[in-house]
Parts: sequence; structure tokens; C-alpha cells
Amino acid sequence: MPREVHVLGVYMPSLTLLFLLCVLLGWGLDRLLAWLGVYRHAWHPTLLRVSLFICLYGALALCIYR
Amino acid sequence: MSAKKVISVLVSLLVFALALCVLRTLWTHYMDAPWTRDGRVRADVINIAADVGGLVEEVAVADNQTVKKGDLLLRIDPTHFQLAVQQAEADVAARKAALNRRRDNAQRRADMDEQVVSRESRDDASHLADAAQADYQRALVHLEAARLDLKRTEVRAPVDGYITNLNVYRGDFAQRGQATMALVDSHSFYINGYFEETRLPLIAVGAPAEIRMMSGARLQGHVDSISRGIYDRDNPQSHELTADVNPTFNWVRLAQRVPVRIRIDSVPDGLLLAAGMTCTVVIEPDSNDANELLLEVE
Amino acid sequence: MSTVTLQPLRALLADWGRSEGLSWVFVAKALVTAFLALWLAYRLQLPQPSTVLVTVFIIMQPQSGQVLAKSFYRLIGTFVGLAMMVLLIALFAQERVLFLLSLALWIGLCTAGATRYRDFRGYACVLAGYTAAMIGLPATLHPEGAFMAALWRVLEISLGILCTGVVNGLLLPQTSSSSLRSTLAVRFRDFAGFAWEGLAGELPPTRFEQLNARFAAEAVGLENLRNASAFEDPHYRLRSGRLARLNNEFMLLSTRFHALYQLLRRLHVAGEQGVVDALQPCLAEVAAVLAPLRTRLCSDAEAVQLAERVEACKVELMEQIRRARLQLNMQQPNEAQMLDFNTAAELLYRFADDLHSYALTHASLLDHHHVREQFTGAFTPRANGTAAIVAGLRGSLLMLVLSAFWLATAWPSGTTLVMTAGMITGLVSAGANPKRLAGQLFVGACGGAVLGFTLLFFVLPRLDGFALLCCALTPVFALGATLLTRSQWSGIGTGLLVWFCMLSLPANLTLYNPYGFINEYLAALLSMAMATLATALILPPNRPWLWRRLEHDLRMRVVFAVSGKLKGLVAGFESGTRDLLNQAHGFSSSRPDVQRQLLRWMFLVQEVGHAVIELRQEQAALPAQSCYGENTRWRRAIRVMGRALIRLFVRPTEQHRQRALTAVEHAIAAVRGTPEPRAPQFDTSPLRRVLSYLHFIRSALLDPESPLAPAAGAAHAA
Repeated sequence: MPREVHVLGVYMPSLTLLFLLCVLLGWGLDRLLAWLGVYRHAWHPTLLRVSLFICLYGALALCIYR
Repeated sequence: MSAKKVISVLVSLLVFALALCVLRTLWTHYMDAPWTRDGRVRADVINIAADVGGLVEEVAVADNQTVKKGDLLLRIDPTHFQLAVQQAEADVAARKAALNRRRDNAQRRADMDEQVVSRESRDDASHLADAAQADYQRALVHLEAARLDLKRTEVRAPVDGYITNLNVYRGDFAQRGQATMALVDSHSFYINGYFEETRLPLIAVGAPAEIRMMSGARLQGHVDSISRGIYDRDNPQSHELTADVNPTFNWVRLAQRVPVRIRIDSVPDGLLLAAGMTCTVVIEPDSNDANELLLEVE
Repeated sequence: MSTVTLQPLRALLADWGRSEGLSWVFVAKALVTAFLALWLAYRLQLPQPSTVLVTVFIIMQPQSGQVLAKSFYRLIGTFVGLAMMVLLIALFAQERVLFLLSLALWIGLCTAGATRYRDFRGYACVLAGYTAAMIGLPATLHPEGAFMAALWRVLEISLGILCTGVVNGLLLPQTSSSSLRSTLAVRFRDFAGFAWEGLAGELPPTRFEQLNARFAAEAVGLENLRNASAFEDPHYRLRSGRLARLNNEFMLLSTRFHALYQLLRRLHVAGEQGVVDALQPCLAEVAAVLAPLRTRLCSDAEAVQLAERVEACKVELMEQIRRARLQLNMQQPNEAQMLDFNTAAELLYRFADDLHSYALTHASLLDHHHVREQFTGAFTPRANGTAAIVAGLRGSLLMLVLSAFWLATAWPSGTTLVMTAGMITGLVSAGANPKRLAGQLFVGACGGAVLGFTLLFFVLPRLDGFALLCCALTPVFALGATLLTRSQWSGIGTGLLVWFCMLSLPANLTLYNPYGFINEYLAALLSMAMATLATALILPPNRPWLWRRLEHDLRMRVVFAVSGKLKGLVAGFESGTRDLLNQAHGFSSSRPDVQRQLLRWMFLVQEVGHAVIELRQEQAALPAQSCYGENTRWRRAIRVMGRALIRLFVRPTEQHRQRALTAVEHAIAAVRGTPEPRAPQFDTSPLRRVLSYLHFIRSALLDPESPLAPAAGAAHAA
């Protein structure tokens, strides 16, 4: 995947676009996990949610840079 | 109950640690690895100017045309220069005639004995002949110069390349030495990547580099050289050779960018390169030095 | 030995952690967020680090759910504002006058929206207005850079939101959900105590009124908390519908109790001791269920037991009522006494029924998925339309005056002047007392100017490096954040932090320009002073004109109850009435007599409106029998009564009251005269239930305490 993309004539790092994509994906994942009741057993649910989001975003972003 | 709690804390911390690792790797790859979004395609651009002034009789090329070395680009009205050549030839003829007269005179005087012609007169004649010889030589050089000017009314391409920014038309008056078009040397394309100074230790001369154009095309190249000087933007001018130092300083220091010249190994078929294009440059730190440095940074 | 001495210390510490400690944690989090955001803004070379910090301080809230909800609406508002601004610049880049006119119109619209919606949507309106001003005004001077400026603003605002959200969620979070939970539990406990006292006949009317006003305020507050919690905690998002239902059922419960209380009070006043005595064992039965609830907080698990207890109590109560009726019958009561007894008994039974469904919903929170989640009676707190229009016009007018001043003087700081006016009108529009809030913001900005000048020209030139910059900024930010935690001074805190960040936060490469600095601050302060004056002079909302309007709105709720669509009517009526009362209470906080009058109107409206709704529901659910037909005499009489009630509540005069009373009595007679082939018990006979509602409406209209009573009406007219 290219490191730069242009959207509507604006040239920006793919990371920005990926972030928006990840917000959507992460939101879906979050709803799913909540539905399954995973967070009930978590120790610090916010920490877990933020960490999961970072893992998701980081993993996708590293695909670009590797 | 407490075992469950311990497990949940452990899992949370594990995921958190994983997140930290991923974030750190991402940060290293984004902030410290030798790559830059700020790359430019550059090339040698030759300003074509006429060597002689005159009316433009013919423009032999179109804008953006490919030319070979020696191709005719521009012809300036040669009439003036032909006349100048004729004038110079006439001059040469006149000088030659004068030289012959002087030479004959001197020969005649030299053949007579000292009682008939004074020694003075004989020497004068000989010197006059020498002077006439010099005049003749000068006339010959003038002729040569006039011929050269005539030849230079045809402007030819100095290298293979592409005409760009053509700004001369038939009927224009071309001033001597004034650029009328630019010729981009087709063999001279290279990339300037502006790298933050923090990444320079990871860049070795000769390291392979990948160039990604905005269009998505990829080129291979390698590091040619690293610039040894940039302008200090914080201290813009110095008067009277003394330093003019800005009294305030950034709260958070930002790295300066230094140009690194990348030689292009090969251009894929069908890819159009133009000087000034934007590209992303990723240098592969495959040499041992660079690998060690990157490990240190990580 | 040591444990003995440590024990009080630990208790003291825990106590501190619950009260003062929370403010300290908030201040610490504010500082961490601000410096993290500032460093990132410098490091990423954003053109205006001040926007990042302004965002941080505007969405900074003690509770993390509130932060997330505010962030979400801030982003939406920002995008809408930006789109509007890019459009305006595209249209009027060359025409300054037209541009400023349309900007004033837009700010007016947004301010009206912010006043109209009393939840987070109002906040989005504020943002849409002032982002437009923030981007648009500087861009008028450089229209070619407007698009890039807009993009940068989005990045800066997103960065501020991201930092605030992450720091607030991760570092010692104070969750909205725990606050929601404790508010729910405390409210129910207080209600149980209050109902217990009421049933025992020990509740003085003033306390009754206070508590009702408080419950109304909490009903609105809980709705906001519920929204915020859904943003923050997936656990609560799954229960969002049930929480809304719980809130609504609580309102229903308190309305029902209110009706019961009023009826019992009227019986006392009328001296119907026989009826009250007969009811006593039934009341004691319900009070016995409430008694253990008033001393401790009820958890979800306990709610299951409560539901079982109430269910058992309902069966027992039915028996009690039958016994009591037999007992009363032996005393040979007259028709009116029997009607009183029946109405009160039915209300009591329905109260127990409502309590049961509340307990069931509360218990359902234990489960992850539950059928009770399906709830559509969502509640949107809305302000009076006229008040919103007035606020919008005030904002537009202020913008126009200041824009004209800018155009006339060509002051270089004119952008700041107009921009500040746009921000202030938005920020103060949602509050109950805009004058006070505008004044506080002004004072805060004055403080910010002094601190900013000192810091920028005397302290910062001596410093070098980000760490020292943070040290220098810490006192200012800490002071502002401390003020934010004190609700009576939070306006000063906002003013200080926002305008300090906007005007005196240094860029990464500092430019020292005292003339520009003073000019900018003069413009901001002048604009704020003008805004304060405008809110104080142009139809301020906490004045009689708005009280009268709100009173009218309250009365119109009865019209809504009579003529609104039956679907969702209960939820709409209950929440809308409480929302109105809550606003009216806020706007008239300086005048307790006005507050009392409005409260009494609310009581009357609740009693009559609720009875009318139940009547309508009863009629809608009638079995298909000839005595219940659409055109029977009693149904026509009830329709006539509905029209009479509408007339009465649109124009409350004594004549209209008499007419309404006649209509009610006529309807009662008509219902009585209708033969019904069912046992005359209220659980089997619809006509008996209809009769109780009609009787209740009649007693409400006759109540000498109500604002409709001749004496009260005369006093009100004078």
C-alpha cells in the first residue's frame, strides 16, 4: 500500500485515512465485544479498549511501513 | 474469584503491553527510519541562448520536443553575417593585394644596390611589407570570426534532452546571451530527498533506495551523496559580516532537513519523469553500519 | 496500637479522596492533558497550538463520559461550522458586508439552536456557530487560504479531543456510569423515604414541593448522564433503553404518588375522616414495603427481591382494599365518600403496580440482554421557542453591531472583536442566567489578560525549553482548572483558560509583540463587555416575560394530553412537563414566590393531564360491547369535558373553571347512568375506572390550593 494517498485533491499520509478506517472498524469491534460481554470481566475496561484500538491501528499501519 | 481477577488484570496488562510495543514500533518506523515524504525529482536544465543577436528566421523545434545532441533548434537570419563574411573576404583580398605590393616593393629595393637605394628606404620597404603581412593576418582572422558568427546563426542542442518552456518565435529579435528556451538533459535525472537531521546517521552513501512517485510508480536508486550545507532559517540575514542571531528559540526543537542526492538506477518503461515532481524516498538500511545504527535507535 | 491511630487517618483520607481529592485529581489531569497536547502541537508543527488547548479546556469535564459525549458533538459541530464557512467564503469572499451579514445570521441560528436543545445537541450548535466565526473571520482577509486553514483546524481540534479523551479515560477515571448509578440509587432511596412519609401522612407540603422540583431536575440530568454513559461504557450502552425506561417509570411513579398524596390531603382538608380511616390499613401495607428502602441504596440484585415483594404486596393489597370497602360500607357512606374511597384505593393500587414495574426494570439491569431494552419514549429536553428566538436575535444583533464597528473603524483586531462576540453568545446561550455567565467569562478573560501579559513579557523571555515553559504555565492552568471544579465560579475558569490560551499562548517560535497583544485583548474584552451588556439589556431570560411564557407552556401540556397522539403520549407528557418545570425553576431562581406559583401549576397540570391520558388509554382499550360504543352518552360527555378542559387551560378564568366543572360532573353522571354487565370492581369494570379518573379530575379542579382556585386566581391576576 502506498504511504501517501490523495483524497479530493488533498495529498495526505495514508496513516490519516487508515485512522478513520480504524475508528470505524474499532467501533464495530468494540460493539461486538461489548455484546459478547468481554468487558464485564476486564479489570480496567477503558484501558483494555484503548489498548485494543492501538493494537488494531498499529498492526494495520505497520503493514504499510513493512 | 480472586484468580479470575488476577487473570483479568494480567490479560488487561498483557494487551496494554502489546499496545505499547506496537505503538513504539510504529513510532520508530514513522519517526526514526530513513524515509521521507519530502522528495523531489531534479535534473540538469540548460538555458539555451543564441550566441549572436538577430532576427529569428526559423524555430526548428516545438515545445516539449525530444531532441538529440546537435539537432538544430533555432536559426537566426544569416544575411548580416553572410555580408560580414563577404566584407571580410574583400578585406582579405585588399590586404593581400597591399601585402603583395609591399612585398614586391621591398624585393625590388633589396635587389638594387646601396648606391641606388638608401639603406633607410630599403629597410622601410621591408618593414612596411611586414606590417602588411600582419594586416593580412588580421583580415584573415576577421574572416574566420565572421564565418564563425555565420555558423552560429544556427543554434544546436548541446545534449540529448527535452525542450521545455520554449519562449521564442519566428520574427523575434534574439538578444545575444538571452535564454530563449530550456533544455532538460535526459541523462541527468536524480532525486533530492530532504531528510531530517535525526535520520542522517542511518543513511550511507551507496545504500539502495526506493522512490515512490505520487502516481504510485516505483523506481530503484541508490544514495549518491549527502549535502554538506543548508541555510540557517532562524538567522535570516547577516549585515556587515556579523551574525544576526534570533533572540528567541523554539520551545520544542524541530529537526532541520538536509538534502540527500539519490541516483536513479533505471526508469521503468512508460514512466514520465519531470523535474520538480514529488516523491517519497525510502532508503533501505541494508549495509551493516545502518543496521547497527537502527538497532541502537530502536 | 498503630491500627487504632491509623484508622481515623485512613477514614479521613478516604473522605478527602471523595470530596476535595476529586478536584485535585481533576486539576492534575487537566495539566497532564494540556501539556501533552501542547507538546504534540509543537512537535507536529501545527500552525495554531492555541486551538488545541482551547479545545482541551472547553471539553475538559470531571467525568470521562461527559468528555466523550462533548467531544463527539464538538466534532460534529466543527464539521458543520467548517462546511458552512467554506461555503460562505466561496460565495462572499469579495463582499465583506454580505459575508458579515450572513455570518451574523448563521450565529443567530446556531445560538437559537443551542438555546432550544438543552442537551449535547445544543453544544453541537454552539460549536457550529463559533467554529464558523473562528475560521471565517481570519479567512476573510486571506480567502485563498481558507480551505487549508479549515483542514488545520480540524486536525487541531481532533488532537485536542484525542488527548483529553485518552487522558481522562485512562488516568484515574471518574466515570459517568458510576455517577449515573449512584444518582439512580440515591433518587430511589429518597423517593422511598418521601413516599413513606407521605403515606404515613407526615410530609409537610413545602418539603413535598422541594423534592418534586429536585426530582424534575434529576429527570433531566439523568437523561444527559445516560447519553454520556452510553458513549463511555459499552456495559451501559447495552442498557441504554432500559435506563431511559427506568427514568420514565420513575417519573410515572412520582406523578402517581403525587396524585395519591393530593387526594389524601384533600380528604384530610375536607374532613372525610371515615374514608381515611378505612384506607389506613391499605396505606400501611404499601408503606411496609417502602420502609426498608428509605435507609439504604438498592442494588440491582436487591431490586429482584423488591419486585417479588411488591408483587406479593399487590395481591395482599387487593384483599385489603376489598376488606376496607366492606368495612366502609357498614358505615353507610354517601355516594361521594364511596367515590373518594374508590378513587384513592385505585390510585394506591396503581402506585403499587408502577412500583412493581420500576423494580422489574431496575432488576433487568442485571441481565446483559433483556426484552425491556425496547423503549422508544426517548426524551429531548427543549427550551421555549420564543426564548430560543430571542437568544438568536440577540446574538445576531450583537454580531451586526460589532461587525459595523469593525467595518467603520478598520481596526486590525476587529476579527478578534467579532469572533469573541460569536463565541460568547454561543457559550452563554444554554445557561439559565446568561448575564451572570457572560459576566464571569469577562472577569475570567480579564484575569487571563493580566496573567498573559505578565507571563509573556516578563517571565517567558527568561525561559528556554519546553520543561520551563510548562513550569511557567502550570500556575495559570491549575488556577483555571480549580475554578472549573467550583460550580459557582466555573464561568471564570472557562473565561480565564480559553482566552488565555487563545490570545497569550506562545507559538513554538515566540513572537513578542506587545502592541498586537494589547490590541487583541482590548478587542476581546470590549466584545465580552458588549456581550454581557446585551444579555443583561435585551430581553434577558430570567424575567417575568419568560415566566409567563413558561407558565403558558406548562398549561398547554394539558392541551397536549387531551389532543396529542396516544402513542408515546405518557412518556412525552411526563418528560416534557418536568423539563419545562426544570427550566422555569432555573430561570426564576431569584424569586421563590414565582417558583412556587410555577410549581403549583405543574402539579395541577400533572394531575389533570395524567388523569386525562389514563382516561384516553382506558377508552382506547375498551372491549367491543354496545355500552362502550363510540357514540354512547358517556363518551360524548367525556369529549365535551376534554374541550372544556382545553378552554380552561388555554385561558384560566373562573368562568371557564365553572364550565369545566359542570362538564366533569355531567360526565360523571353520564358514566354512572350507563348500565354495565360486569362486577363493579375496578379490576374488572372499565366504567368504574373511568369514574375514578373523572372524580380525580373533579377533585383537582375543586382544590382550593390549586392556582385555579378563585382566591389564588385573584392573587395571580393582581
